[in-house]
Formats: sequence, C-alpha cells, structure tokens
Amino acid sequence: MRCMSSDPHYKQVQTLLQASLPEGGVIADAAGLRPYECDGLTAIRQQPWLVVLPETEAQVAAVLRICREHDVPIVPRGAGTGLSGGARPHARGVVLSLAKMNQIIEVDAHNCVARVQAGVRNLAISEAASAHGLYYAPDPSSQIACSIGGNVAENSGGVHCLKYGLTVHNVIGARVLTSTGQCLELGGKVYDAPGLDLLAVLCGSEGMLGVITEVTVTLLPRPPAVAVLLAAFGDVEAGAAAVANIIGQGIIPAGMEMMDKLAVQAAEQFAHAGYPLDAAAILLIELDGCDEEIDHVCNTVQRLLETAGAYQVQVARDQADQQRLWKGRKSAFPAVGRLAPDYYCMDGTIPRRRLGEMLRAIEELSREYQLPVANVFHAGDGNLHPLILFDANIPGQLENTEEMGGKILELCVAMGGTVTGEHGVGVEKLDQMCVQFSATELTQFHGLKAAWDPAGLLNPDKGIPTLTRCGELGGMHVRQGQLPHPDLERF
Amino acid sequence: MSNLLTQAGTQLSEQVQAAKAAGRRLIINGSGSKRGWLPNFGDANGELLSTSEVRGIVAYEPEELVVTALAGTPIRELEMTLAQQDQMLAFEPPQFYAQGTVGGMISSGLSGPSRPWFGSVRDALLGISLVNGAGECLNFGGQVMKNVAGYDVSRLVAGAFGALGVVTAASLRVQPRHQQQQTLHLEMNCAAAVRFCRSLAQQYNPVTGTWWHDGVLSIRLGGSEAAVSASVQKLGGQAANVGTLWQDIRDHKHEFFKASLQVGAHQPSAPLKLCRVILPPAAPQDLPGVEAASLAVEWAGGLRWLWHDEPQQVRAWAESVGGWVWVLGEAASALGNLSREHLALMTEIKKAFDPAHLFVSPLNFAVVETADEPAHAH
Ligand SMILES: Cc1cc2nc3c(=O)[nH]c(=O)nc-3n(C[C@H](O)[C@H](O)[C@H](O)COP(=O)(O)OP(=O)(O)OC[C@H]3O[C@@H](n4cnc5c(N)ncnc54)[C@H](O)[C@@H]3O)c2cc1C
Repeated sequence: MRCMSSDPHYKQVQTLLQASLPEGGVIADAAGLRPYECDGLTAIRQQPWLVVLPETEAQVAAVLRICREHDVPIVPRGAGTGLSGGARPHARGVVLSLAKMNQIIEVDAHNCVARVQAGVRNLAISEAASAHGLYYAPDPSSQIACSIGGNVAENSGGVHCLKYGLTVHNVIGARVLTSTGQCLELGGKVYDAPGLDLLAVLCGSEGMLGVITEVTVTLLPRPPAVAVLLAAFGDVEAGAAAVANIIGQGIIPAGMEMMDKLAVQAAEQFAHAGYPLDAAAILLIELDGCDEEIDHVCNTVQRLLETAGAYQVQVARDQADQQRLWKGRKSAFPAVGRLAPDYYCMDGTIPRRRLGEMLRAIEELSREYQLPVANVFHAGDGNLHPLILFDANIPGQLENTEEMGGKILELCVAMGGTVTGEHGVGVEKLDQMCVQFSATELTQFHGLKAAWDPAGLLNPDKGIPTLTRCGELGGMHVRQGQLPHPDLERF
Repeated sequence: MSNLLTQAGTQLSEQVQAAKAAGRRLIINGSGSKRGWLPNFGDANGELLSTSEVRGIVAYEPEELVVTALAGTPIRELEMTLAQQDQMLAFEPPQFYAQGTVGGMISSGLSGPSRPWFGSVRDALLGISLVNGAGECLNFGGQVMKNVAGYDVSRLVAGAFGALGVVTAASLRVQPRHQQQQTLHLEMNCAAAVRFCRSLAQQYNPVTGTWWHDGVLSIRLGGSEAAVSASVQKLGGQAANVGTLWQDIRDHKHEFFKASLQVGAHQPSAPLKLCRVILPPAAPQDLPGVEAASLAVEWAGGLRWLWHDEPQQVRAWAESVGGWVWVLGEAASALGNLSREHLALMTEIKKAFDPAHLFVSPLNFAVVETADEPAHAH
C-alpha cells in the first residue's frame, strides 16, 4: 500500500476522486479501510487501495469515469453481507460503496411499485410500503442489513421465494451505469420492456456488468391470513417425502424450510423457539391466503405431514407464535455459529427428490473429514445450506473445510443441480464453476461480460473462472484421480 | 432421456455450422405462428432453420414442478402433458394459429392474460440449451428453481427473437392448476375499469386476469373453491359462463382483434394498425379521440390494445407516461423506445453470441450503427 500512496499516478487519481466527491467521500487510511477488507465471507480478506462513498448517481458516474481513464479496477459494494466474497476488494482498486445512496425515491401504490436507490436496505422497502398494505416479497435472512442493489447483483432469495420468486421476479426496473460511461434505464413501471432483457441478466451479475444505482421493485398486497406449521420427524427422509406430497397435492406454501438435528438444537438454544430437541429433522411451513381458505389448506397440510410420518405438528395462528417459530430458523446461521469458532456456509441446489441421498453423502464426508455439519435447507426448492463447523486456528482446518465444501458442491452438480442457489460465485466457488460449465460455456460468459465491460474494470477475477484456472485445476483433479464429471449433462 | 437432448443439439449445431461454412444466414423458425407480429424483418436472404423436427418432452417431474422440452415441441402438446398432472404453464403462452412451439414461445417472450400475477416466460424459465453463432451447443441454468451460477443467459435469450442463437431445449417451472375458476362481468367505462383494477391489485385476492372492452370489465378469479367464492361475493357483479373468452384473448381470436370489424366501424384516414401499448398500469387512458370499440385493456391496466390510424400519436402518448408501443406488423417497433445506448449494448451482446451475424432476427439492434455517427461514445 505504501508504494501506491507515493506513486504519482495513484496520487493523481486519488486527488481527482476527492475533488469529485463530498467531504469524507474517499477513505484511504488503514483504520478506515479495515471494515471493507471482506464481506460476509470473512475468511477471505484483502485491503483495498481506496474506498469511495458517492452520494448521487452523478458522483458514481464521475468515479467510473476517473477509474476508466486511469485503468483502475472497481469493486461495487452494498452492505457487505454477501457470502461468496463478491465484494472482496482488489488490491489496486477502489471499493465503490453504494451505502450512502439510501433514499426511497417513491412508493407508488397505484402501480404497486417502489423506486429506491441501490443502497436502501431490503427491509426498509417493506416498512415504507406497509402504510399501503403492501410489501416487497423477497426476504433474505440478512434483510435488516443487505441492500437492494446487492440483492439484485446476487439475485437473492429468501424463505418466501418458493411461492413469490427470487429478486429477478420482483424487480421491474433499474438504472445502471456501465464502465464505458453509459447510464442505462432498464425496464420501468411496466411489465415487459423492449429488446433484449438486460434487466434479467443484470440480476445475479455480481457487480461484474454494471453499477446499479436505482431499482424499481414490485410490491404485493399482504395476505390477510397466515398459518405457520412446525412438524417434527424421526428421520430426514420422511420430512423430504412430506415436502413432495404437499407440492404433489397442488399446494405451494409461502415458505417451506427444513433443519436437521444439529441445526434444530443450535437454533433452540439460541432463540427458544420451542423446537422439539429430539427430532431428526423439522419442517417449518408457512401457508397464506384469504381468511376463507386458510383453515382448509391448513388441515390438508397437517394431514399430509402426519401421513408422511410427522410425530408432532404444531400450528401457529397468531402472529406472536408465528414469529417465535420463524425466529429459530432466521437465526439459524448465528446460532450454529456459536457451536464452533468458525462455520462455513454452503449453498448448492439439487432436485428435491435427491435430498435423502445428498444428506447421506454429506454425513459420510463429515465423518471422513471429522468436521460436524448442521443442515438448513430451503426444502421447497432444493436449496441446501450445509454449515460446516471448524476452527480456523487449528492449522489445516480451513483448507480441509474448503475441500470438503468443494466436494459437496461437486456432488450437487453431479445430481443435476448447481453450485450456488442464491449466494453467488464470487471468489469462493470459482473452482466449482469449472465443474459445472464447459470451456465453451465459460467463454460465452466472458464474451457477455466483455460486451458490457470491454476493459474488464468491474469486479475483475470474480464470478467466472478463466480457462487457464480451470485447466490447471483439471490437471490437478486428474492427478488426484477425481476429475468430477467433466461432460455431465445438466438437463 | 438426455440422449434426445444431445441428438437435438447435434442436429441443429450441424445445420448452423453448415450455414456458417457456406456463408448463408439463418432465420430461426418454429412453426411460424408469430408471423403476423413480425412479417417483414431483416434481409430476405436468410435461409429458414426450422426447429419443428426437434420435438418431445425430455423430462417431467411433477413433484419438482419442472418440465424440460425440446424446442419444436408444440405448446399444445406440452400443455396437455402438464394438464394430466393438474399442472400448467402459468404465463399462458399465446398460441396463434394453435400451433406455437416451445422454442418460439421462449424466443418471442410473449405471455397471456395472467402476466401480472404469474409472471412471463422468462420468469418461468429455469434453463436452456442453445446453439450459438459458432455452432456450439451450450447449456445455461438447469432444472432447479434456484441457480445463480454464471450470468443468467437463459432469461436473456427469452424474448430475444432468435438474435442470440437457436434454442434447442428449455426447462420451465410449472404451477398447479387452479381448483376453481370463475369470471365476473362488471359494466363500467374504461377510466373506471382501470381504477377498479388498480384497487384490486392493492388487495389480496385471487384475480388471475382482467379484460375490459366495450363497456364491460371481465375479471377472472382462480384458486381454491373457498377463495374464489369468497371473492365472487365480495366483488359482486355477474358470474358468467364465458366459454373460451380467455383463450380467445390470449390467442387473438377475440372479435376485437379482427381488423375487418374495426374498419367497418370507422372511417379511418389510413389503414388501422393494432398497437400493443405497455404502460404503467395505473396510467389514465387519456389519449384523445379513441373510441371505446377500438380499445381493450388487459393486465389490470398494464397492457392496452388500440386500433389506430396514426401509431405515431399512440407512441408519443405512451412514451410520455413511461410506456412503449409495439405496432403489430412493424418489426422495427418491437424495439420500442430504446435509446442508442441500449441498442449499442444489445449489438455488442449479439456479437458476443453471434459474431458473424449468422442469425437474422426481427430484433435488429445494429440499425443504429449504420446511421450517422457510431453509437458508442468514449
Ligand atoms: C446472516 C446472513 C444471512 C443471509 N441470508 C441470505 C438469504 O436468506 N438469501 C440470500 O439470497 N442471501 C443471503 N445472505 C447473503 C447476502 O445477504 C445477499 O447476497 C445480499 O443480497 C447481499 O447484499 P449486500 O448489499 O450486502 O451486497 P454486498 O455483499 O455488498 O455485495 C454482493 C455483490 O453484489 C455486488 N453489488 C453490491 N451492490 C451493487 C450495486 N449497487 N451494483 C452492482 N453490484 C453491486 C458486489 O460487487 C458483490 O459482488 C445472507 C447473508 C448473511 C450474512
């Protein structure tokens, strides 16, 4: 760092940035930079050269122009809650934080949309819309902190996305600045936009295609009736069968979450949600609808749960009980975090019917690596969050954990799933991308990136691995005799 | 099962490579069912590449809510298979001339009356197999509902009208069919209908479609028996047996879409054009001089159909309230009000998938590049 601050080129860029931003808009001192060294994936750290905090879209544009003219990499950052290192800084680059762009521009109840700046927190949108009886449906567990810009960049999900969709299904407009200096308005308050669906590809683009400055989200009316059911099972596969039966009956719950024994015990100790400690797995199911239908649906689901082998079913009809039941699930990550010095959160998705098989495989890996695993799933859509418990202070444990995690993800691909359901690739899953995609597919991704960002300045070295990296890895894997399914069908 | 898929990919990729080697350009065609929307696009030199031979359902797991079908599969065949399991494509793909294919459904990105409540084609799309302009077979997305590995190329290809490549297969999320369906008629004028639809949109209810035309607002309700009958009680109006009304709207078989009837009712100064006007749904219908008979409103206000002899006027009005217009039969209007910056980026994306411009598409973004100065300003 010291050499960069004395380099006249960098000095000049820093002066230009300072001149374009308000007082305090450029952070360059070590203490100030420290909070930006990592995102939610704290194991991977890097001090950035600078952090910039623009307050307006014009200031974002100025930062992008200066960086373009001086060939400085840019790492966009929302709230830094990402779990794959997407916002990990670049040693010679600036972190472009959208945190100060936190204005709710408009809640337009007639059109059922809200226009907000990228730095607005997810939960703040629903809070602002609640006066109209409306809300923003995607609800990542990090919703009190994470930004809507980050949600779009990761195409985040939440416990309600089985019924109400991911971020991509609930965003209809955005303003985005590209590294070439274009300001593009995508979509609007309208259902379909002309031409290529740039907004769809922006969702999940992990800060690599453009900087999102404003988002238009759709708002939904709150359902008048809600019921939350908790079902306890003596074995996990019975729980998985219950999920298939419910969906097979044509019922799409608002949310359907599963936790295994270790996760249940951790969550119960942490949140006192009233979870049965002897259960091998619990299912939490939220049903919503109008007052006239909720009893009937609730009874049907209860019967299906019992038929599948639930030995206990609790039904929560009032809000306080429902919040208590959800609190355990929503705090599962920090709760598991208390069981060991560190935990590593995985995010693969598999076709739901292979859940039992997957769990057995994880159990075996856990034995092999001597690392305990707590499992939390979005059971309705097959998105798994195995949490591997470890201690980074014990030499070799972090590496072992990463290796074991990598194997779980490769299994997800082999079962017809994906290495990431909602947390993104970032820097974390680059190697597994080589397993999931062929060289021609990766090349196509790089081509798409170059169309948006020809100079490659936006969030370099993230998301999509280079072919060289995959080549080296492939060689390594072959040497160890474990090249995982290179030409696997993913359909 | 994946054999079918590999064969389909190989077959189409060979055709693309042969055309490339011979320097021929290709126009991708499913069944030709959207021809009325986009008659005269591109240069006429393109050779037709038909996907209609590549058909069949590759995989269907009702309990996973996912189906995978080859591009040439007729939409009707797919829907019949789903119906046997009490499931459906929630976005109600139009089937003009009753013969649309899965590939055309994805490439056109068009959805039916349920669009505001159940999303569009791209929303249901989970993965695609694609042959790009180099003749390479590529797979993006997959068969699972949550998947953020790599850029979301599947959804980018939806609505791209073949500009980026040949879709050989697609995986789609399906939904359970509604237990009960009921349509109500309420008499009111257009302004009142738009207001009424917006108030409905702000409350929780089982609305799955709206259609206003000629003084009558039709509201379709769908869901559990209890939810639908409670909603019928609340909304009042007249429950009606509407036969194929909603399919007719979806497929443009409804009388409103027949030009001859329109011309009979007017003395137009020029031939009437059918304008597909996409607006912020609450926008008032305040374009002067439009007769009720020439106007229909779908999507709780978000889609207005207008027969008009001066589409330019319609366009100016729509754009002034944040919307855009596609004049049916005029391919260029499918690009709406996109700016030069948008078109320049789309051109670059097209080049990334199809560098030699092998695929002739009605979405011709490159139009701007040949006009005066280059669109990219550095
Ligand atoms: C306890 C906990 C629970 C979580 N639960 C969930 C969950 O249930 N579901 C889920 O999907 N995720 C979850 N996450 C992950 C994370 O919260 C989401 O990925 C979130 O969307 C990240 O938002 P952020 O504002 O923190 O983005 P950041 O972490 O700051 O950035 C994430 C990525 O987006 C890019 N980016 C951010 N803002 C912009 C912008 N304005 N323009 C362009 N690119 C941008 C960054 O470059 C980076 O690549 C959880 C995380 C934690 C810590």
